[in-house]
Amino acid sequence: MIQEVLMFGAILIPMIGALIIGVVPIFKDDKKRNICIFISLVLTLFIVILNCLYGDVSVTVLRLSEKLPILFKKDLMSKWFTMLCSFMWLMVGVFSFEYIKHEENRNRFYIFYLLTLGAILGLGFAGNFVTLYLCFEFMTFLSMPLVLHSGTKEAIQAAKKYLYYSIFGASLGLLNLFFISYYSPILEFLPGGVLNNISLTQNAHTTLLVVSFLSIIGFGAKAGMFPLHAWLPTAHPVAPAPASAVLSGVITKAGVLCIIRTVYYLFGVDFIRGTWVQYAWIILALITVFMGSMLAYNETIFKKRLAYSSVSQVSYILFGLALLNKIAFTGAMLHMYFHSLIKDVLFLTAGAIIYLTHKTNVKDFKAMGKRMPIVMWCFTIASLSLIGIPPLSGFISKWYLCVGSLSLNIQPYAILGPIVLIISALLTAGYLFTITINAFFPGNDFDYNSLEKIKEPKLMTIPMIILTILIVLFGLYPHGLLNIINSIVGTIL
Amino acid sequence: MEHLAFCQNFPFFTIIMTLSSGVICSILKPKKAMYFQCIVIFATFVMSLITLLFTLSTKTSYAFMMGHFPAPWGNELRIGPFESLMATCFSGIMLLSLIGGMSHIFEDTEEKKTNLYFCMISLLLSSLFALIYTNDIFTGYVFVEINTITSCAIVMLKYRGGKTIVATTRYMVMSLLGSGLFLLGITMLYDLTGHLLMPQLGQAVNLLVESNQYMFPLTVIIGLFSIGLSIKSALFPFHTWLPDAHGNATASSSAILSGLVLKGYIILLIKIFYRVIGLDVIEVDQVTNILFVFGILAMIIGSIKAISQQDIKKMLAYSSVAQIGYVYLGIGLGTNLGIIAASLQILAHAFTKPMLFVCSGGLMDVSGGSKQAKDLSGAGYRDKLTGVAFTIGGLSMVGIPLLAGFSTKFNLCMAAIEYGNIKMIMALIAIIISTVLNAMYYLPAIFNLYHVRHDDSFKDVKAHYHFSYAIVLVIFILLNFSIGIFSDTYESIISMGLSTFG
Amino acid sequence: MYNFLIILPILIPIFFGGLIPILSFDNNTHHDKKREIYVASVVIINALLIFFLLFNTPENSITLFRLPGNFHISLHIDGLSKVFMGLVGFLWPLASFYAFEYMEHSENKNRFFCLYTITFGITCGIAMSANLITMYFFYELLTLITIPLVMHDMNKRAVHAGIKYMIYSIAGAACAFAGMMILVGETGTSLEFKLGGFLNNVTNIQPHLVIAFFLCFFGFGVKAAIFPLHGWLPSAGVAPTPVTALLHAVAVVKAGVFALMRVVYFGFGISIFKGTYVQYIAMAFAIWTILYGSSMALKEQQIKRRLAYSTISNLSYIVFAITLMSSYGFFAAMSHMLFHGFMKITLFFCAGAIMHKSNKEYIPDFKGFARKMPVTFATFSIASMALTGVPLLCGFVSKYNIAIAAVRENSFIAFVGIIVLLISAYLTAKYLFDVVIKAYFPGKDFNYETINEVEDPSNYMKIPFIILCIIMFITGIYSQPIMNFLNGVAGNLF
Repeated sequence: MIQEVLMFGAILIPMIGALIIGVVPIFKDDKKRNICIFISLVLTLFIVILNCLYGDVSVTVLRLSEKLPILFKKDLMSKWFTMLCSFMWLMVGVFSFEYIKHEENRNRFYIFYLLTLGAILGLGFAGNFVTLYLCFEFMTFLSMPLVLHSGTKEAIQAAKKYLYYSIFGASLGLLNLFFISYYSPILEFLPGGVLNNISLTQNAHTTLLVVSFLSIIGFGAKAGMFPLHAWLPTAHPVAPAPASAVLSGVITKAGVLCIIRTVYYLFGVDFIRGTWVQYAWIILALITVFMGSMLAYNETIFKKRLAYSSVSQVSYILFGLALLNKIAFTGAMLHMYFHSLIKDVLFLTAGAIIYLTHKTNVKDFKAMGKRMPIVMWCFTIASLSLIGIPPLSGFISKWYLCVGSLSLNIQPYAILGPIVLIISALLTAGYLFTITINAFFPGNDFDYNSLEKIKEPKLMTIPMIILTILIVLFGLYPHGLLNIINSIVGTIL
Repeated sequence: MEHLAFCQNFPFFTIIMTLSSGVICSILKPKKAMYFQCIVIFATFVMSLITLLFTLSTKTSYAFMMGHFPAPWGNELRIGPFESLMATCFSGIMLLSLIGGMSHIFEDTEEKKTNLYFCMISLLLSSLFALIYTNDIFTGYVFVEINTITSCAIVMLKYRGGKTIVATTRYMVMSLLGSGLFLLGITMLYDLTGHLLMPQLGQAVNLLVESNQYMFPLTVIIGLFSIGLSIKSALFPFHTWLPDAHGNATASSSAILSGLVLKGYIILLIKIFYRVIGLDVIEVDQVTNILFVFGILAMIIGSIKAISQQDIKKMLAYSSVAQIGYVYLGIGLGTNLGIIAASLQILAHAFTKPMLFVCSGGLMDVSGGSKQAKDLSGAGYRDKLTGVAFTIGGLSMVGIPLLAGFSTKFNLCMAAIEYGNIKMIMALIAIIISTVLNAMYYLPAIFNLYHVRHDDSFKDVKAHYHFSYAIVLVIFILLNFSIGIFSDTYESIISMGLSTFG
Repeated sequence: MYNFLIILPILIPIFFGGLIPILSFDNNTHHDKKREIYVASVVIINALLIFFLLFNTPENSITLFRLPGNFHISLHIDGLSKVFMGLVGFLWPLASFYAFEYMEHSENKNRFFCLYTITFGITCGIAMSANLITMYFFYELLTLITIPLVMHDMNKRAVHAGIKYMIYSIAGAACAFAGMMILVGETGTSLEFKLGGFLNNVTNIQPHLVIAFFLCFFGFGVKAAIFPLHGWLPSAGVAPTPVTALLHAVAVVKAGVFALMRVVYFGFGISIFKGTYVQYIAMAFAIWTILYGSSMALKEQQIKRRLAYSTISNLSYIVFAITLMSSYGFFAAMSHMLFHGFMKITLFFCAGAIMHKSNKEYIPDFKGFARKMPVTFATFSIASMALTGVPLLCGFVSKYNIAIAAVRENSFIAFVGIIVLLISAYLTAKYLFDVVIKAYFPGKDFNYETINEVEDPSNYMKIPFIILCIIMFITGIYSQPIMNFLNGVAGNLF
């Protein structure tokens, strides 16, 4: 009983919070509203932590029709995911209290911000495909207003692009539902997949392979994988910084989760391993890794550069998942967390810079380090981690990915992975490190007298610092995370 | 000699009565002529009905000698269920058309000449009866000529000006052309066989066919008969005289011409096909194929022309061209079912088109005497009964089930399907296209009647009509439904009649 | 005993509706209370009667007329009849209330409500037809009675649209008639509907049967807006919205798919054409129409025409399911027939409310309306999500059913159908959410003063909106009873 309450509580509390803000008039006032939001977020995080301490549970809420139950289930994977979401949401939320001061329609922003959290937690707890799809659609609809928040024409266009790409991707994913429910009587996610004891004709086998491929591409849209990644670079520059942070940091991971559920819990790795689907997936992921880094390198608008970087980095995760072995999977899961932390730091810094100096182009960041030291130091540490410099966390996840790739034993994919990853790392250095250098060492021509230091608001810096500390800590002591991942891996591989 | 029942004389009586009443009418005053005529026609109707019942009960047809000269030298009538059904219906329709359009007859003709109108009507009816009953081909020709002249007369008796005269002239020229061809055919046939009575002719032709002599002349003869009678019954491409003639005549005349006169020639043609030449010969001879194709063209082109008409009577006239096409479609199939379907269409059209023309007269009355569509707009509200009758007639033409038009289309389809192969496909396609085309001019016309006018013209016009007009319309409506619902009764009579026809 | 009750749902609206022009209702005031009460009572009583009949169904059929040959005009209520009649009976009262407000500025209200009510009776006639001839008869009557409704405004556009509708419909009916005749000629049956077909074990496909099938398919398919016979539907958007909503989203077009269901499942039967090129051709047309409709909807800027193309596309979802020629396909087709009716009528109602209150009909003019018409746009958004296929709303369930039916067929073309279904869902999202987003988020520079007069419609319209939203949710969440019933109708074969 308690467990069910806790699980639903996690989903419902942010939504109730949103409702209160929307309806009750006291909360039109900024301060009071912020407090209410803060409480909701903390409460949610707290409940999610409690959830993680308890065991597994599974609840059918209602049946849409005979074969369509709405089912919520808590297992290790969902604990992993929901922990990430609620924590990141809190951090970015605190940051946003300051940032949002120079936006309008703040209530609207927070209503959807909280509602999206509820939806994404629902996604995490989804126990079967219908529920996953339901929460996915809701998450898409609820996060769209975050993208178009500023109300400019570009923002509306970008939001529409986001919406339609997501819906299209979800539609492709929906094929899963149709075909798997036809072949298998099991209606929920099972570690190892539901197709194990089913005998399939040749035709059925081919059909299911095509379906799995299409759904990987479909959910890959949310995760920014080529070929459906185009919404990401358009949406990030126009969204407010907190929105970009959660978009890149968390919502893309929702796409990743959907793919994990599809491949590991629905089809099962044995179904896909060794087939053309796996190889195509690996190739697509690697293409995205390379392409994202390349485009980031060429881009000068800061947020867009970070967007392309996200495109690239999330496909690291997808690459790891595509390899279908334990080590690579570990690397992928680690990178899920680390990229989230890192990218959120990066976006928070971008937000801070925009908020305080209104500069969006990296060319204008000269000497930023002297003006906003805390911000730029966090940026630097995060960059180093993303590039993969030990002993920061990014190194560990990339190491696992490379080793996992090499252990695949199928050429040329095995060797291709590390090569692309290394090239990408070099490009990452190129697009991130140059900013750092510019910020701290603007060069001899720079006019030092025109420098003023800027007061960096605490609400912005504290989350940044916390996240940065975590980045370093996980790099030094990843064992806790590794243990959890091991237990997950044991069930599905 | 067998002893004839009294009623078996009736067909002969009907012909004689109408001939003489024609003569009498020419000397009576108009009003008296009208009453006299109506009584006479009613009497012929009753007599034909009795004949019909008689032949139905005996299930045979019999031959009636005129005078005491036996065949093959004397003249002969042949009466069976088919003929008496046609006669009954025709006389009934004629009566209804006259009464329905009576007010217009008096308006449209010159005062002193109205009695002449009734005279012509009478002679027209007599020639119709003769065409239906005759068993002698030359008699047929004589009455064809009488028919032609009288029908031209009833067109022309409407005195409004040059259009009528032109139309009549054109009608007369084309008609006489047709009669001429027909006469030519008779001459050649007489030359070949030496007979004029149909049964004898039939046997003679049979001999010729079996011995395979004179096949080419026979074909030519069939062609002459067909073309001659087709011209007179306005089959495409010989229909050009019809719209002007029917469109400009007074309502009753248009009704009678469209509904009855055209049919008389077709019945004669059917008779010739059955009795003189024999169905099997026709089949082989490709003539039916030509009639079939022309029928299809008539169906389509007649309707296309009707769509663009603003004058309601012209529209109805073009519609007649199309409907005649249906009849020839049935004949052109050449099978028994086809002819049954064609006959049913003859009846259905005879019931429907006169009703529409009579309605047009009524509608014109509440629209200031104008025939144009824009003036007729909203007439359905001004004269409700006429509006309803017109609607039913129009829907019947389109082919709504429970109405006459549906039954005929149904039967034509059945006949076509039984035939099979390409003719079936052509027939079905033609029926489909013509249904749509029919809808394209009838439905807008009906909607036009119920269009609410925004101007004040005709605002206070109300319909004044004699109650006889109302009764006529109601009877017409009931007749229409009777074919729609009870068409199997009609069909069985027709098929019984056709089986004893040959 | 109470068999005669069958004919009442047809007669009551026709008779009482026919009386409207004669009873002295005022044509010119905005709301003639007497007329509204009269129409509302007739419609509601008829709806109640229909629901009574749904649960206490007379077993036998009744014959109204006998026609030549073996034919008769007869009525009979079977499972499929109940489905269609239930849909129509439920929606007609809602639409009538909606019409009371919508038509308030229009002329000739008496004529409108007279024809509108009569149409109710005729649609019930189609639902209860026991054989193909009866259905053809009521089908023709439906065309005739709806033409003046399309042309109601009597301006050039309306008349033109009415004529186009007339030509398409009558051509279709004529083709169907020819097909019927061939059936009669070939098989000599009396065309009585029964599940499994009336062809009496004709097993090999003869060319005549193929021709008859295509004539019936495309003939009745005109009302179901199958490409290339869909052209009348977008033009008919000029009709007053109650007409478009009820007739062209529910009654007329659903009569088309209903007729196709009768032809395929109760007429020809599925065994004869399944797996042959005949089935594939029919499916191909359906699939193409799905794609075509959705794509054209995207290009349209006039709201009702956009929804009309959406209807064309969605109807072909149903036709696609029908052409799968399986029990499950039939079941799926019926479920979408029902649910799409709900969703589309809601969308049209909203569109009508927008047009009525703001006098604007082009989508770019709808910027910012959501703030002024909250109820309307909330309803529109919910219906849009339903039509796209978001779970918890009814559209997801019916689309799921169609997809599963296609999966079960295991043929290549069925799979193409599924892909097209998904593409269409995506396009649906696009063309509907474009409107929603424009209305809710007009952009930061938007001046709300320019749309000051725009406001939500009165309760006549709002209450139907709310009822429909509730329905869409309930059927989306708890569709089990309905699905069980449909399963039974489809022959309990799965």
